[in-house]
Amino acid sequence: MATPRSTGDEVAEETLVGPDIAIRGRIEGEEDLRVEGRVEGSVSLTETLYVEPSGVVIATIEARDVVVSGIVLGDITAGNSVTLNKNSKHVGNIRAPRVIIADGASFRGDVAMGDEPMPTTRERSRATNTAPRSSLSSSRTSRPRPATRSSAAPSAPSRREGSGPRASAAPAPAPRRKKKDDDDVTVVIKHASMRKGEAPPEEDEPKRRRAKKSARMPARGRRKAGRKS
Amino acid sequence: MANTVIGSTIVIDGEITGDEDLVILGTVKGQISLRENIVVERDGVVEANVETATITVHGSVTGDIQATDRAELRAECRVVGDIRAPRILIADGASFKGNVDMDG
Repeated sequence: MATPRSTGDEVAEETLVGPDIAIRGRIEGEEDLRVEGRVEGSVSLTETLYVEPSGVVIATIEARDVVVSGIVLGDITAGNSVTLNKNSKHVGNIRAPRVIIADGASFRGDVAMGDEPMPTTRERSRATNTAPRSSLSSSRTSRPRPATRSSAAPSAPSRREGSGPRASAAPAPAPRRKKKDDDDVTVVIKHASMRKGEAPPEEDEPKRRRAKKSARMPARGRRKAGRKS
Repeated sequence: MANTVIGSTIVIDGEITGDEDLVILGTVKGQISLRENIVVERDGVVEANVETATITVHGSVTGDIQATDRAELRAECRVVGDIRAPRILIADGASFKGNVDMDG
């Protein structure tokens, strides 16, 4: 079960956090740690931390060496060196005697090489300030949300459409329905009353009913029917 | 292939979750939730509640173990805590204190 890297002794072993593993909390140790998965919290090693391309470390890191090929969010303090490889991403401060940043690496934060004490709170606060600022600005720029409001406009017609079928479905109340029916019916009534003023009101009413029943038919048909009768 | 290995000098205090095999040679405190296999090697120390499919203990576990498949307590292991698993194997020489529930 030991790791491939063993050169014989147990000391040569290495801890591996696989790509499907997430660890949240504190990790301490005296051996190499290779992260292909996700680690959150803090990492404290006397050896080397490798953050592989698939690895994500959101933690405060202390180690002798740190080699980043993946993503690191958090401050790194290394006794020897910090290497940010191509395609790595790091947001946070680095303190180490040797800092290597390869072409293609992405980094934001402060770097302190040499022995001066780490400019702690002030710089850190600066760094943390810049992060939210950018996130704020990005959230501002990513404002195409209002568009969603305009997209609410089309929803109104859809409501109308929705009420339309209902209206045609049943010949009873509902305001909009009544409007249509009323219009049609009044037209029919006008025709009926105009045409046959002699006709008794009794006849009229059955015709109205017919008209209502035939309200779904095109107006022409109704008119014709009215004329015929 | 990509076993996750917690080396012998490593101490993890927190929570481990994931979907792959885990080999513990070091120390883990807190909580472990996996859907695969856990092996606690001879020098491995787990002080955590463990949820997993199978667990094989050669070392020391303090905490409740809940396995959906199998829990194996090998010789010379030390386990303190309740074990819940459909299949539980306790080898000769194993040290165990706790409750066993094989019903579910």
